Amino acid sequence: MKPPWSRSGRGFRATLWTLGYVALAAFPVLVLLVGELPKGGGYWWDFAMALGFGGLAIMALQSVLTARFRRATAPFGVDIIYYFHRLVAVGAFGLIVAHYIILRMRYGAVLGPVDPLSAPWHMTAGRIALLLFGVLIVSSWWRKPLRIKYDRWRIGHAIMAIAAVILAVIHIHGVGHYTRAAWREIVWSGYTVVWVLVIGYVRIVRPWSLTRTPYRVVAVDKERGRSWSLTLAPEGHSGLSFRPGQFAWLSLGTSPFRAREHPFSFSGSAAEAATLRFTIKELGDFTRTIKDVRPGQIAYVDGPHGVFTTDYHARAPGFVFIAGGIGIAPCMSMLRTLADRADSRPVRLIYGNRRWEDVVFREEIEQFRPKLQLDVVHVLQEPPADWTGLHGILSEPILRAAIPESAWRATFFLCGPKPMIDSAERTLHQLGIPLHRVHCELFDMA
Amino acid sequence: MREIIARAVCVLTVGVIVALSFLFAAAHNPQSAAQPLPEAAGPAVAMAEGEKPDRPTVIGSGPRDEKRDTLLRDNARGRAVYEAQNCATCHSLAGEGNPRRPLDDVGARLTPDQLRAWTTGTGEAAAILSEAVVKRKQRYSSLPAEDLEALMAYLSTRTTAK
Repeated sequence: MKPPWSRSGRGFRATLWTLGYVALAAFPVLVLLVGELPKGGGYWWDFAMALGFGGLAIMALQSVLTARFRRATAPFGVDIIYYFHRLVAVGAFGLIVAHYIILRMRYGAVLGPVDPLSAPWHMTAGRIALLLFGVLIVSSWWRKPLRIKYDRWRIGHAIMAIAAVILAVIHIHGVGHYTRAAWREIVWSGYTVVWVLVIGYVRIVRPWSLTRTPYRVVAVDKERGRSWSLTLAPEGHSGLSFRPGQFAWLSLGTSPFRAREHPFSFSGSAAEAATLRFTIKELGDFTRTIKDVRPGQIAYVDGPHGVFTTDYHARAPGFVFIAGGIGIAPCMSMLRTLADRADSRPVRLIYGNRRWEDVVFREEIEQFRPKLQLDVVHVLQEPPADWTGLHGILSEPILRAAIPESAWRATFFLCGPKPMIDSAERTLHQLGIPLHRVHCELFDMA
Repeated sequence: MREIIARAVCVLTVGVIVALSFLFAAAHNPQSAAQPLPEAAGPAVAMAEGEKPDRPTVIGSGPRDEKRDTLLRDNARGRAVYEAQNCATCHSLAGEGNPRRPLDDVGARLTPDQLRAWTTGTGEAAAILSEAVVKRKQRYSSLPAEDLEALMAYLSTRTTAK
């Protein structure tokens, strides 16, 4: 029997969800075409109106994309859904800006005065919505260069997104013409209701359900390279099961209602009973506080999520992991699980770090050798004087040297900084390795 | 691989919406070749939001007289009120403004009383227009009488854009 996570099964479900999404995004424009067509207001006028409806429909669906509905995200991996969320927001914003620009250029008088004291309220609502959508895009794509802290950004993002969609709906109801038919009114009201329900689910139902399955920190272990491993044990429930390489959103010492969770890969074995392990490097505002976590502290875990796992590739003849720095965490979960399952397939780990002292898990990796058919290639940027291995960054020549032809039929997993992943993907492509055998985790979900 | 698919789905989604928008615009404007048609609304199109398209609105017509043409040139105050009240947000004159509800020739289509009723959201207009629009229009009742008169005079002398 074909396992439910087989590629073809996931592919079929992914296609269905994708078509469903496109249909939902296009539906409000489609309904404009159905029924009695009133006289047109001019080609560009009606075109601009339809673009505005389409852009808003995509924006209204944005909260559904990031609601982390496991059934819907499972075939894709929630990381790629977040990536798509960011990408399609730009597309939707483009449609809304086009709506505005066409009106500004061809029907400028319609827009009226900018001054909210003299402008019609629904036009002011539309202007503010447009502005807020722009701020949402800029603050999301350039959060780090703008030095906006993640927690603040998240709260601001949610508030601005809610305000922008409400104002945009007020705008279209104020304009009125296209939504005047009762059933079109129902369509837009339906979208608004679903949108409110999704926000209610994300902000109330899911946090509430997480409070019913709390975890307790049982160990905080210092690792190499300013990294820490947290071990959590379920409290009053049987815990969750995950696939090696997956990740979860972790709330530490704070209520899940405060929406201060952060995504981290499991680093422990999926074969371990109940306890969860995360390995986190001090990199940002939140991760710098991990060292202050104490055993006994309460934690909430929203997961598992993601498709970055060896479990979805049962027929792979072997695996190659290419990890940079703390990108080892999900690879470690897969290595530990493969070792616990006594998997006999050949495994190669190409592991890049700055210095030998910073190589997280380097001792434990050596201990896998009797259990796994494992080859490890360490690559150091600043090697010690007596280093005889590869040195440099994980660039094309290094990867070509580290991946023998015998490994080209394996399934590849890449995890690390984005430039490393991009470079590795290019190299693997040049080696003729098909894209469907190359998997990477996109961790930039802010 | 997944990033490529995500980009493709993004392009597909936006592309479908743009295609449907083109279709929508073409379906609504079969006679248009991507050109705005201020006259497309025709002389019988309602002057205000909510009016039924098949409503017989041609009340009166006839050759324009010299007095009306003079009014047209001189009615600067009416135009100022039209602009100050942002009438172009919902209506158009000579192709300028919202093409959904053109006011060209409205003086030929409505009697002065009807024009006043449709402007201030009273009488027959109140029964046809949506509640929100009636509320918005009823605010014009509180305009200074001279301004309202000037606006009526201005509108009644508008003619179809040539």
